[in-house]
Parts: sequence; C-alpha cells; structure tokens
Amino acid sequence: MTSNTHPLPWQRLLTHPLVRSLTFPHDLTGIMESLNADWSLSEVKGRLVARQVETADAVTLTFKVNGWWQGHLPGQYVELSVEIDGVRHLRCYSITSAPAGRGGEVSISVKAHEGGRVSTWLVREAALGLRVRLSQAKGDFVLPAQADARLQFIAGGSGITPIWAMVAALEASGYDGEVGLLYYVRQPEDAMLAERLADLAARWPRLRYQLVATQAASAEWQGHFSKAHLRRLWQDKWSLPPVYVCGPEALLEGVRAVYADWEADYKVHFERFRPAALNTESGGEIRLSRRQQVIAAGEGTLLERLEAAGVDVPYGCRMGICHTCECKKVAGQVRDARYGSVSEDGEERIRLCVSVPNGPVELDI
Amino acid sequence: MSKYTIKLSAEQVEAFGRELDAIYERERADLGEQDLSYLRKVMRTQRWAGIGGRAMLFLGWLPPFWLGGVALLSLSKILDNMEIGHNVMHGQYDWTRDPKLAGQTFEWDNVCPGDQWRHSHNYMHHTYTNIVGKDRDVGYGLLRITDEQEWHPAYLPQPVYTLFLALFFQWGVALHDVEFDRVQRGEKSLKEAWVQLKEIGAKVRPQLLKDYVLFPLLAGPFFLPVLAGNVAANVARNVWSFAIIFCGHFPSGTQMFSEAETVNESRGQWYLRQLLGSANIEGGRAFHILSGHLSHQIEHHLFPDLPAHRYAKVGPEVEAICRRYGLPYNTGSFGRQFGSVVKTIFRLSLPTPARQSRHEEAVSC
Repeated sequence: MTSNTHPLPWQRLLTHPLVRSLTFPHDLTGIMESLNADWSLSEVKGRLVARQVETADAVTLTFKVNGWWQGHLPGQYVELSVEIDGVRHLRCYSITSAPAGRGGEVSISVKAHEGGRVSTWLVREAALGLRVRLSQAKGDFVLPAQADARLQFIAGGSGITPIWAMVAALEASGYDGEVGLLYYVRQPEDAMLAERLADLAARWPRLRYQLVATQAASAEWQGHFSKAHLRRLWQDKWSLPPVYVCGPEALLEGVRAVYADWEADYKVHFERFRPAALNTESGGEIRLSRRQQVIAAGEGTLLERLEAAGVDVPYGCRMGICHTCECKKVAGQVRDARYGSVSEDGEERIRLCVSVPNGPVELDI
Repeated sequence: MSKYTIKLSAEQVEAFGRELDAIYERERADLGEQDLSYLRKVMRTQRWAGIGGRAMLFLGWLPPFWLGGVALLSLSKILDNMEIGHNVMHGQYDWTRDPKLAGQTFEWDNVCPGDQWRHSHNYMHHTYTNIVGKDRDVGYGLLRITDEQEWHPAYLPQPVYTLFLALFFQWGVALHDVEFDRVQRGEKSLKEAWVQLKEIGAKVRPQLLKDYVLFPLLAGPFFLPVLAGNVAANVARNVWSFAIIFCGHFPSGTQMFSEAETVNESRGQWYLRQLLGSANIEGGRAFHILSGHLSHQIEHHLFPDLPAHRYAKVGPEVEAICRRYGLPYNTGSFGRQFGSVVKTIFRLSLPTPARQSRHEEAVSC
C-alpha cells in the first residue's frame, strides 16, 4: 500500500465532529502517527531522503513531503520544525528546489552558523530518515507576476538560496529576458550551490553570473558590491533593472547605498535572514505585541515589571512552580531568576514570575 | 497524626533547600530525548489500551471480553489521567516546546476541565500544601481528615461520604474548584461559581456523550455491555486515583500547618513543608507508573515540574539527604499507608478535640 501522501476527500473526514467526539478530548493525530509517521491531521511532514554536501559547512537537505504540502513560489521560505534531543526548534530556510506538489520533494540548503544550534546539527548530524515538520511556504520575496525585460540578483553567503531558486525557475520557464547575478562570498570555497550555478551559467546564455570572493587575494573581481561591479557585469548593455537582494545586513546596506546614489526609478526587493545575536545586558525594555505597549528598561522579574507598569497578568505561586503566569515570549532572551540560566532567543513559553529580561524582550501580551 | 520536633537551625534549613535545588538543576539540565520517548511510549500504551478495550467491549456480551475490555479501558483512563494528564499539566514537558504537550492547554479524559484543575491543583494545592484553611485538598470541603479540623456532627457519616467520593471521584475533582462551601459562607460570589459550572458543563457534555451515548450506540443491539463497561472503567479509574491521592498527604506521620506559621516562608522552609506534608508508597516499577508516580509524592511536591518518571531516580538521594538532616521520610506499603488513612477517617468522624498545629520549631526557625 503506498503511503498516504495524497489526502483524498474521505480523509478529510478525519476532523469531522463525530470523530472528534469519539476521541475527545484528544484527536486522531496520535493514532494516525502510530500507523504511519508521515500521516497527520493537517501538518506538513517531511522525511529526509537526500543529503548533498555543498561546502565544508553547508549541505543541501531534500525532504519528501506528505500530502498536505501545497507547493511554493521560487524565492519563498519554509519554517522547519526539527526535534533535537527532545526539544523542538523552529528555523526558517529558503527553498532551493523547484516547485513540487503534494508528495513531492522540498530542498533547503543549510549553512552551519557558528554557535547556531540548529544549523550546526542539521549540517553535521541530520541523517537520512529524519522526520521534520514544515509550515506552508511563506514570504513575498518572489518573482514579479509580469516578467521584466531584465532582472538583477545580488546574493551574499547563504543568501544565494532563495535567489538560486528564482534564477533556476526563470530558466526552467523559458524566460526570454536578461538575468544578472552577483554572488558575494569571503573565499571561493564558501560559495554554496557553486557547481549548480556554474552549470546553469554555462548552459543558459541569458544569465550573466559572477562569483566574487571579497577576501581572496588575487581575484579578478575585488571587494564588495559597487556600481563598478554592476557596470562590469553588464558592460555595454547597461541599465537599471529590478533588483533582488539577499544576504548579510552589510550587503543589504551596501546595495541600498549604491542604489540611493542613482536618482532613476528602480525597484529593490530585500530578503533578510536574521541570525540570533547574543545579548548579555539585563533589564532590557519589554515590548507587548498585543497591547502595542513598550515598558522601559528596569529592574526585577517580568511579572514585577509588568505589574509596576499597570499590566495585570494572571499569576499564582510567584515562585516558578504552578505555571499560572506562563505566557509566550516572541523574541529576546530571558534569564531564570532562580538559577541564572539564559534562555534561547526567539519564540518559547516562559514563566513571568521567575524570568528577568536579558536585553530587549517581546511578549505575546 | 504524630508530630515531630525537628531541631534545625535557619542556616541548616536553607542548606537543605540548596541541596534539593542542586538535584533539580542537575535533572533539568539532563532532560532530553529519553524523557520524551518515555512519555511517547506511555501515550502509545494508553492509546492502544483504549482502542483495544473499547473494541473488546463490543464483544462484551461474552464475559472474558467484557472483563478484558474493562481492564484495558481502565488502564487507558488511568494512564491518561495520572502518568500523562496530571504530569503534562504540571508543565513537566513544556521544555520540549511541543504545543501538544504544553501544560497550560493540555486536556485529559476526565470531567474536570483542565483550566480548573490547573488552578486548584497546580497553584492552590502545590503552593499552600497542607496549610489548613488554604489547601482545599485537606478534606476536600467534605471530610475531617486531620486533627486540626474542628469536629461537627455532619462528619459522623464521613466513611459513607468517602465511599461515594471514591466511586465518583472524577466528579469530586470536577467540582473541587467551585468551592461550594465558600459560596455558602458568602466568601465567593454565586456569579463566579456559575461561570465555573458552565465551564464544567462544557467538559462534562462531550465526556458523557462519548462514554455513555456514542460508543454504546455504535454497538447497536449490544449496547448494554459497552455502556456497563464504560461505567465500570470510569469507576475503576475513580477508585484507583482516589486511593493513590488519599495516600499522598493523609497517612499517619504527615503533618499539617497553620497559616500563621507559614507566613514569609523561605525557600528552604517551603521545601520542608512539602516534605513533611507528603507521604510515599513503596512498590515496583509498574505500580509507580500506574500511580502516575504519585507514589513518589514527596519528590513530586519538591519538584512538581520535573518529569515524574525521574522521581524514582532521585528518590533515594532525597531520602539520604533527609536522613542526614534528621528529617522524617514518610514511606510505606500501599496497605499500610492506605490503611492508616481509612483508620483516620473513621477515628475523626467521632468527636475528638481539635489540635493546634505545633510547628514553630520546624518551620519558623
């Protein structure tokens, strides 16, 4: 029997109220997952089927997705949920594979960031057969609906991932305009998807591709992005096409600065990858996302700071035992007032009564 | 209940607390895949026991199938309520960041709404453990279970109340947070109680529908064994959980506290009250799992949000620490612990003078 990767209408009965009444207060998820690990009530699940080494610290991981996957547009990303030593971690990765439907394959290319728990684990430890959860494809860093006569892409480091997807899609769809791609890395061996890019440039004359190693000693192309690089790429066919940029903040700033010089009308699309920043200052400001309120920096636990600012939140024992004051931290780090341990950056549930902000913090209140 | 005079200085009490803190921190740092896979195994057992039990009950007009069905369904409900529900709702698995295991939203196969359980148990009972007048688990507003409570003629039939409480325990648990006696005394508004009763109704309806209407209906003409079997399984869970819970804080040797003597409790004093107010039951591994590890009531009260299966591991360490400090460690066989509770219920149904709690030495030193 082939695996249930294509939900048919009758399978949507799985969430029918009658079924829920029989399994109350739980749902069918447990039973389904016991029968087949790829099954779910609505979640997209993926199984690692291929792993390709790209550089010394980057790999491309290909997942076979279940029937709930709804496809993606080139340039979009997916939120991956992976369980590492019992704990679920969520990270976003741009999709590098061509669009596939239900039961197809989705690839991401991951570069191990220094100190990055998930990226390092995915690159070094993820083995074939690994099961992950995926969100549906997200993001609006996509190709325009109406194709322009010319498109310019600028990528830095792992920012090549969404751009590769877009350039590959243009070629596959028989795009008849001109495409320029400038890819900035520190050293040539840092270039991800290098072979694929070189192959594509070799067989597709419409693509002008240049890999620039900013720290390589004797390279033909030197230094960071500049007007000169653009001119050199296009030579006599110079014009200002719509620009798609993805890479480190410095690259985005560099592109913005260069284009700001030109007064001509241009369209620049940015895609940001946000790496976690370690912050060791305490008592940071508290942002409340639902109330649209900001509480200035100060002393004390989150519960104390909220109450001092007149924000009433549920509390119980006020000593970290009963979890009544638990709420969602959207961003930022907190320190445990009892043990001094510092949390991760990003979304997780915390107990307000024993958490002290370690830098700026955003709460779902 | 006998009283111990404990001779510990304030520094010693805090040192005691710090040793327990160290155990907690060490275990918390060690949490990982093995804890999650243990819980998953228990959940799988609970799920398939439930399915198997209900399936057998469809053939329940044959006595062996009825008995087997009831046994499996009882096991399923007991695991759901105790090893899974009670423990997950304590936030013991919040660290996994699995939204299905989030303590604040988890629901169990029981007429008691999770939110009210979290309030009356996680917050009220665990914060004010054994404080007469604050911990409503002391007597459940129904029984005279400790000498500190004043006798009243209404307590005379309390062995009969206890029997009914045991048979219908999940209903006692469901109504526990409504606090009818406080409403009667005018301390709590009828309006507040009514809101809670509506919440309880919203949980009761699907539970009754599932066990007493839908599954019997599915059996068609053979509905009677299914209905009777579901009743029996619920009663079995009621009686078992009642017995384990009553062994938690009522066996001889456990101590009660007054509000006055627990004002401004330090962390070490809090640990001491949790220890002195709790009692363990000795048994094998299967017994511990079936009791939801409430057989390790002492460890549970010291570390409520540590995954319960770890109590078996830290138990001997805790006992050793207690011995070193000259503190009692209340443990005994199920027969002995439960027997002493039954004796107490009969003894205190008769008029005896109320005793003042004498704990100044132990707690407020």
